[in-house]
Amino acid sequence: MTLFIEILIFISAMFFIGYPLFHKKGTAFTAGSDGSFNELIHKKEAAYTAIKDLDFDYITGKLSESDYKELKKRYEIEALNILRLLDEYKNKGAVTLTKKTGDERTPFCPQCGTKTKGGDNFCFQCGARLNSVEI
Amino acid sequence: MNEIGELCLLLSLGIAVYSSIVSVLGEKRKRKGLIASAENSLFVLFVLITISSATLISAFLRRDFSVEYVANYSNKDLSLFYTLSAFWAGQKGSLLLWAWLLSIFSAVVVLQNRNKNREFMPYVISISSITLCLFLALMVFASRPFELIYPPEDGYGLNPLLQNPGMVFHPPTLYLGFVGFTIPFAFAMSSLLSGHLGDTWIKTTRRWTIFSWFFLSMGNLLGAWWAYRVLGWGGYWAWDPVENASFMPWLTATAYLHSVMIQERRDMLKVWNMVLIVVTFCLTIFGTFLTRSGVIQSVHSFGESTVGYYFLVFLILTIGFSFYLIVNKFSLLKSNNELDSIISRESSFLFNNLILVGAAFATFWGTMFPVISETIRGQKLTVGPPFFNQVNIPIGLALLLLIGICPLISWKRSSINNLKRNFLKPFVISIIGGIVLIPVGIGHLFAWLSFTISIFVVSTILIEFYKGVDARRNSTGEGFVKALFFLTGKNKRRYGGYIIHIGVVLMYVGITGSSYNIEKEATLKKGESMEIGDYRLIYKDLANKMPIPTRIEVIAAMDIEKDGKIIATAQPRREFYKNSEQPISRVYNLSGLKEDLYIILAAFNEDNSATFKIHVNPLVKWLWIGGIVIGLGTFIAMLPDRKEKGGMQVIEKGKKKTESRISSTAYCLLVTCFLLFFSGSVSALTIDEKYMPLYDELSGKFMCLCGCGSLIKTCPHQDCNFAIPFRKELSTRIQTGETKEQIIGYFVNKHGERILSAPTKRGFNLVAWITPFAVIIIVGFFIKRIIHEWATKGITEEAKGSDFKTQDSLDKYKKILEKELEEFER
Repeated sequence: MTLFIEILIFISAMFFIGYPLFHKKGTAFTAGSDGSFNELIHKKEAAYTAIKDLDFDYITGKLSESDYKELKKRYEIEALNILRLLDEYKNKGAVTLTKKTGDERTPFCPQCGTKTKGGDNFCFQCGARLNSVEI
Repeated sequence: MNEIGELCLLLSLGIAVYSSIVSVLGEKRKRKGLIASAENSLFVLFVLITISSATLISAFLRRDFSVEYVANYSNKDLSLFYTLSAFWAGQKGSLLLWAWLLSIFSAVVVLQNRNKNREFMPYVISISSITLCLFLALMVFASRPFELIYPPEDGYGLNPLLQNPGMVFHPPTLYLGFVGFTIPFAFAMSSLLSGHLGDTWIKTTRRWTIFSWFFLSMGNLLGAWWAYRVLGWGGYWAWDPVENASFMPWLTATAYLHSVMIQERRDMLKVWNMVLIVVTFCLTIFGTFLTRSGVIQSVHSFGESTVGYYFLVFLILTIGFSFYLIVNKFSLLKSNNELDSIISRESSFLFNNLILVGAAFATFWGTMFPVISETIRGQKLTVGPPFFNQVNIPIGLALLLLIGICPLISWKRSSINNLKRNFLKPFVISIIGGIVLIPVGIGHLFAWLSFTISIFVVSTILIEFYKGVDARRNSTGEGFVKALFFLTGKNKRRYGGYIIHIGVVLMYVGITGSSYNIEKEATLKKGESMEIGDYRLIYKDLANKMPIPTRIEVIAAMDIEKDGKIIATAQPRREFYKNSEQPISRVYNLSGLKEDLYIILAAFNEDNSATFKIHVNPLVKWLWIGGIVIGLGTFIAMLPDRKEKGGMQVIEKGKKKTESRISSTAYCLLVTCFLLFFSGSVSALTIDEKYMPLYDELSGKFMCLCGCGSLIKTCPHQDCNFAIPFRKELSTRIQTGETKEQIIGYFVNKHGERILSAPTKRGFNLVAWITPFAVIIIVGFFIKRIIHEWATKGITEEAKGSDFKTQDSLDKYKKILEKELEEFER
């Protein structure tokens, strides 16, 4: 009985660990994109925290008015810049996405209307250059 | 049955080795399958170690004495509650518990990060697996929990000292803290390994850090509580090496909790934060090494075993590897260090870090000095409580002062005028308080300082709350309570932190109370009475009881009289166990907010006379209350935010995350409630009254060498064959009129220098005393210079409004900013 349980434990453990090896092929997540986006988000949080701190310290009388105004302006601009970068980042992401779907669809030649194969650069009928999104 | 547990451990070791390699391989080769397989390995590890632990628990419940560990730590009479706690009563079970907790935490981390922080995960998995390997290897090769023996008739039984609720909760709570720091450490290292050196690892592990810090605090406090209630020497902290070993990571973790706040706001101190988390993690391992190796004598030692050296090797490798990584990435970690001003919260935090790490260093130095002295001079000596008290009291007071000062200084920049205004009120309040307290302070300078600074700190914090509420009321028109509620809810970390600070101050008050402890010992016949403090104690009766076949109890009854009225009947007991040579004192403790009356039945004679040791310990209860307040503050700081911020990166199910946070915070609350629940509740020496002060002083100057690690005065063993003859000899010598110096000289000659509880303040030993302060002062100057340098550099104005193409786009972002700030919580 014990032996049976032991074998069962062993086999199920091996199965569970081994399963992804055969069923999750493909490359690992690329680090770059996800990472730098996170960094931006954290920078934004840092700037927001700074602004909140300033507000709080000013209201509770720890910061003089001139210091408050100067510092607040600086951190607001910093936050605005981060927001802008984040937006740019998101837009860039959207562009990458469009490219992908564009490749998968089989478009028609803009010149003669012939159906083209995905991945072709020129129309095999009339030789016109096929659209490719520039990144 | 037991083979299953053993097999699971063996299998786990194999899998842990596999996942530690495969996860990194997957990252290097960019193979998703390998990483997913490593993640599944951690789940499997969790299941296997759980099965293994369940097997051990079942062996205990089945009273299967063929398992050596079960036979050694339980017997047939043991109640269910303590049978379960016997799981971690010894080394083998503790290792299993540690591994089990780590496997749970690792599995939770993998679940939490299924869809985020992917760049970190391979390394996080690898580092957790490697740490698991250590514990699994120990259990497979060196210290097998399922080792079999020829089954004895009955087990040896659980050490009666461990049969106490405090001891049931103290080890797992402490382990939760210790093990928890593996997670921030793993993230820190993976940030170095993966090259993502920003704040992500800090933000991701913020809750893990608070969680672990909380359990480390509570674990230490529960240990103190247990020592107070069970060991029966009238105190709760003896600066035993193992206590120090769990105190040091607490100090560095506290420093870390504060210094990350600067990195979160300023993007600086990156290297320092790395160092702090590495040191904290290493200190948790170091603590285990101390306990298991027998390098240093301690009550906690589980006896010498080879296990300690596995930890030592692991420790050296960890230190080497982490610092290699930090140095290697040093140029990338270098941040743009700049401060707006010399006087700012940032710079005050740097000093807070200095003090906390300085205290950790002083404690480390004192713990290790005997080894240093033996290596350099070949002279064995002892560094006992007097050393740690004298060194840590000034450091502790400086820290207390900083707790009060820091919140008064604004982030970024403080002007002198504002500072003056903010300091005025608390300063005046504390001066008034200090004057009122002068009668209490005569002869107790440090205690007076501690109380006065405590008043200062509490008043600054209360004023902080008041100002915040006031500001909120002005803008929203809410009532006081409602404003307080929402203010705290919107700034959980800030106000949770303040509440934790109040808890810390209460603990200071409790600790300071010990300066006023009174202690008396007397042998009384039935009907006789004695007086101590405001109390008169009348000895009534002595009775025997045998509740279970393996235990005999001797119970004394004493009436406690205060102001002419009998307020309670004390029943201090002594218990004798079949399997334990040492009888155990069950202390009677009448605990109040003002003071504890703590009665120990030290001995009894055939004529029914009995010897009592009585302590009056003022304010001790505030120590436990402080712990509860810390729990409350942590609970608030860990409450989930109403809305997860951060935009796209959080693709996970927010609800689930919130649930897991609620459950972890709920557990924090549970531990707090536990503290709340429990906080309520020798042959006599004949020495002339006039010699008592000298006797008191001298018995605190010598160490008991029975192995207890305590002073002669406080040795917890009621029948100690070192302390008792020593006390007799000491009292004889005092009464024959020898001077203090003569007596000290005599005992040092007889037993060597290690009899002294603190190193002498001359010659080489002076190094022990001076080093901690010298280091703090030198580093302090260094920090002052750095702050000056960073502040005068000025802030580089990177951000310019002109980056925006049009006024429209600027306005658009301004609107977004306004809206997001409104919802922003921290």
